[in-house]
Amino acid sequence: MSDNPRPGDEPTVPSPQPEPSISAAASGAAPAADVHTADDRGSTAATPSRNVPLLIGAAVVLVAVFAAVWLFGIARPPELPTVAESPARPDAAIAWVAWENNRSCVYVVEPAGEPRSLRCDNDGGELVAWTDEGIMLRRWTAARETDLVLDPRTGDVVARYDGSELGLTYEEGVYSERDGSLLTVEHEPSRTRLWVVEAPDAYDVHSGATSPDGNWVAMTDSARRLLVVPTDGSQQPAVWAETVEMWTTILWEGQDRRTELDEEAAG
Amino acid sequence: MHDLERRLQDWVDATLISGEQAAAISAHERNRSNDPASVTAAAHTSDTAGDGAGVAGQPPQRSTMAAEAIGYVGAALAIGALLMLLSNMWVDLLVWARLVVLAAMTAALAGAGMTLRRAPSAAMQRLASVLLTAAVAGVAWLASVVAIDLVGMTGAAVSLTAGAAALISAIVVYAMVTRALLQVAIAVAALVTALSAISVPILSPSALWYGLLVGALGAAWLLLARGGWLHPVILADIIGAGLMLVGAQVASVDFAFDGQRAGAVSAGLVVAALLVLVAVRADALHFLILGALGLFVFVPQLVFELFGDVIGAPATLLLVGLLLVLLAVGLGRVRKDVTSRRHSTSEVNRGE
Repeated sequence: MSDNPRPGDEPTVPSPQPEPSISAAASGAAPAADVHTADDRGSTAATPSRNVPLLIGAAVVLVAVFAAVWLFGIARPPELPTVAESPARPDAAIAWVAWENNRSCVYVVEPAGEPRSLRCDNDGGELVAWTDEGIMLRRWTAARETDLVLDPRTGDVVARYDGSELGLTYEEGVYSERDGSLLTVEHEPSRTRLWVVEAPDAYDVHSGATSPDGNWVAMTDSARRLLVVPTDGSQQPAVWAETVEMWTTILWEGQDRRTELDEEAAG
Repeated sequence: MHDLERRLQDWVDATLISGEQAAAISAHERNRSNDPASVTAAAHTSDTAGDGAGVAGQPPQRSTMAAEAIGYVGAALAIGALLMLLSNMWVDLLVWARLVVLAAMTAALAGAGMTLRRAPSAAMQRLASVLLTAAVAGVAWLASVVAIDLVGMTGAAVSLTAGAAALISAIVVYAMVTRALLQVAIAVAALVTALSAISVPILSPSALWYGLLVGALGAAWLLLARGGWLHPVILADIIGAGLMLVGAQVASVDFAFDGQRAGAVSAGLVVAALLVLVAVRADALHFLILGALGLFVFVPQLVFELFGDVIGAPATLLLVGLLLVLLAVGLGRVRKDVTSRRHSTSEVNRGE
């Protein structure tokens, strides 16, 4: 553990330490007994001997700790049925925006379908309404706010509106509370208990949105799933889609988040 | 050469060596200076040296170092500008074009580095080390493009792929060119790989487990340094001990169970105290510096954790202050002891 001459040190008179010094060998000092030549480098440079048991020890430490982390540190989210397996399912589709590999994508999932990517680009945006005209995506640029209307089947832009005249409403959707390992999820506006579940500490739900008919709540969870649950809590949540960002805006078909701007508040 | 002749004559006059020996040494040195291979061979000996070392241990001149540093700053600015240009057109490049650009860049860096590693000049060898480390970064970038654009990976799976590719390539290069910068590259790649691997599952573990893994990597690094697998050893010591201290700090961040924070901070304190102990026993100043840093970081945290709610904030602050003063005085004495012993050891060596 001493600060013996090491590679890179100035050459000195060989000291009586056990650790061999390359610079000492290079400067002409007699190599120690446990020094071999590095012929693979095509030179007569000496390298110190290597202790294999310590290499094995280092590997054992890493493998043991990694195994412990894998076995005891990684939690699994609660197992839930899919929407297709649930006794009841919503009758409206859902859209959301997700950033993937620096591209912003609008996704759509029908009640009985698989999630599909509607449109991807680099400009981002926030979903504001899903009307008969299409899915409205608000974009902010330096000059203005623009609402793009996307065809829900093709993703093509079918109309553009000035988005600066209408504000947006924000819904809390769900509220979660933890008591030890027990997670309780409530519907934020009505305070109805939606779901009580044993879940690891790292697990939580976010981004709730109530369907326009008021019968369903969609939310995301820490396992990046889109869940849907009846607002009366009569059935446990069902998984509607996977790989959904935790903090995203969920938009129901028929939902309109636009609202008249409060002139005084805006002023 | 004239200087050598004069000194040889001095040694003959002092009857230290015979005239025949002087002639033999003189002829040997003359042959060596005429043989370019011998110069290259001498340069090879510094393949295993730290990045600050000169050829065969000769310290680089201050003016050369300054010019080299300015050169690196200029090169960094130029590379930064190139990367900015590249990033502007990156989104418009097709996947195969991205792969070709990165592969060519990485191959050029690796080729230049491998060529320069045998150069006689120490500055060129340091440049080789920088180029090879940049090539390792290029491999990581290439792997991430493959993971994202070809395989369709996202999140931690991408950093795991890039980290693992960088780790393997850094180890391979380090086996051929043992330089300090490449050791740092291996450490960073190992850290990214390990942390990404446990982040791939849907629910990531708590900070406790991340800290444990970082600490284990530090312990393994110290074992490898002690076993002669990593050079320069002092750098390996610093990386290993530093990771152990950082691991304890990371583990103390969250509160998954009662006493976790106190336990993690105590573990950090024990590591710091052991480093000071090792520094005293082995005259290792770098361990003393790291251990002292650790003590100054963990002692206040542990005191607040244990007594913060019991004796109130003002009394806790007073206790922390007193403990830090005691630590400063104690560590000051230990440092004086270690440095004086190091001086006396070098005096003895010089005397011999």
